Amino acid sequence: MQRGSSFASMEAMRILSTTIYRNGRFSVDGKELARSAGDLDHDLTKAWTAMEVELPRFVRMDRSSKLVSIAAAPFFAADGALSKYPKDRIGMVIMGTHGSMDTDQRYLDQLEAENHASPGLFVYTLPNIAMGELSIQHGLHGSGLCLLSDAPDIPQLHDACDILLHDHDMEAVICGWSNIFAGSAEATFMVVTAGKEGNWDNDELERIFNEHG
Amino acid sequence: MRVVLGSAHVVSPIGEGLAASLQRMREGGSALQHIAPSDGPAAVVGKIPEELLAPGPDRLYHLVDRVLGNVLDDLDRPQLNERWGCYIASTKGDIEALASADPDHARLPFLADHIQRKAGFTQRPWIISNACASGTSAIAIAGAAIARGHIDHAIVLGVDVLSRFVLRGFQALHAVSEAPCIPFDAARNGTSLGEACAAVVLTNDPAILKNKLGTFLGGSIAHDANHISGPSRTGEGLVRAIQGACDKAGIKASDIHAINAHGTGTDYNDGMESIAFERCELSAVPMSGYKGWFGHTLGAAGILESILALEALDRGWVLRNEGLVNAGVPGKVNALLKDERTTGDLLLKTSSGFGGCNAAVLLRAWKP
Repeated sequence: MQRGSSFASMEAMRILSTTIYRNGRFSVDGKELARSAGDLDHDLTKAWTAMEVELPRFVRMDRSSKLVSIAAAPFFAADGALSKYPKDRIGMVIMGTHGSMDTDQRYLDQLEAENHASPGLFVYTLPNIAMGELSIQHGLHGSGLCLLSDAPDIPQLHDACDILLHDHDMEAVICGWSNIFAGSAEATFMVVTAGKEGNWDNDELERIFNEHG
Repeated sequence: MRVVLGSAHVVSPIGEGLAASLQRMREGGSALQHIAPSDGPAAVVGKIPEELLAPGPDRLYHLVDRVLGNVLDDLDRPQLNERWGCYIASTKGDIEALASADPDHARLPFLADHIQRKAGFTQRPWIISNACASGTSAIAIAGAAIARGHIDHAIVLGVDVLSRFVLRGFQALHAVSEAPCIPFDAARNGTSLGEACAAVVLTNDPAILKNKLGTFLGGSIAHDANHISGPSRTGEGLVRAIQGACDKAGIKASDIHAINAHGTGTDYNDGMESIAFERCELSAVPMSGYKGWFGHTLGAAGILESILALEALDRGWVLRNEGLVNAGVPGKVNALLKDERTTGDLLLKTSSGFGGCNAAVLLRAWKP
């Protein structure tokens, strides 16, 4: 579906960089950074350590926040796609199916079994907390949208980026899909900017975002 | 381009509909009530009366259907073709389903499917989950989508219902008050949870609205980048959101006639907001939060409170902070103790939430 791009008010958008995490394998612009086939927690830690980023709060975060942190980290490296953008002009659009349900389930299991509500788990039981973690890590004061959908909705992501770039005055948007549930994790993240030479192709993105394995 | 709001409907602890809710707020006190759950601490909550919403596992869906049905009946051309968008704001949707036989029904897209089928949208609804800033964020995004020409019309619907899941969590954070919450009061001691569904239509063609409520002038979203479960002490994200909305709307702080604040009744939130309003030179503007009447309705809050504040302005009122006796916040604000008459029409609505997310919209009351 090519909704959106046919409208006159739509301006071209350019994707600068893409990261993909699928069940232990993490790549940046097609180059594999980490590969691991242990359990989910082990795999996430391995992908994170491969990037050699110092972040004490990583171990305290829930899995959804870890996944988002991993998928976005390469953009902020010294030679990363976002290294030259002002921090308050970087927006975030993050979509997933289950939101915080991986942590919701853990919080609820403890509430049911012990009649104890863990404050440490509860604060992670909102879908946008991973986006909040990302904003704290990198000092991002810009606009952000946490969206939910049963599958990556490329036209929605397109329109959300268009709004952040042109209505909310962001210069770049971290736009991606992140889902973690039932022991499985996947993320596809991009850096999107406004630009004359647009390369946003809905069909191509449908393929990239829905590629599994 | 002018983006007009109208054909709104609300169901909350203070009742149903705009006129009746406003009358209830003008003439009555808090609808917050004490409950004593068998499996947890006592609490004060805002609950939708059973005559409006019967108990049962499907009450979230019955609530949404009731509000959506009223909104659709209030449209002159209710065929929801590809020029219509739907923006759903919710934090937890049907989270109680997580403990049911179908835990996957707790996911928010399941609720979106229901709404798409029920209303007959050809486009997939958006689900915006920006914590307690979800509702105001959804108005900002829907308004921008129309202004950008992505769509011509939108239904923006916010919903969250009371759940043990959320109540116990807020209690564990010591964020709920043992008495009805009193936003901006010196003696405030936490929030009170509520529940609601509220929906409003935004459109570039006011002829489709049987009832007009106001116009959307601009919106903005910004992050504190400070803490996931506490607001910035300096109000940084909220200041940026307010300034962004003013820039977008092309107005100055001195043009604003009324502020409808987030006003949760927690020490940190209300303190942060007061600092942000002062930083934005809004200290003299009549300011109130509505949660003293019906509690914190989470993802629905920004939509419910925007609609009711516009309805009040349309009738010439800025309402009080229910329960407020002694304002006591670090920033200088004009927190209303009593309902005030106004001839003004320009409303600033703000919301702030976990994750450090802040949203602000500027709306002009219709005032025919």
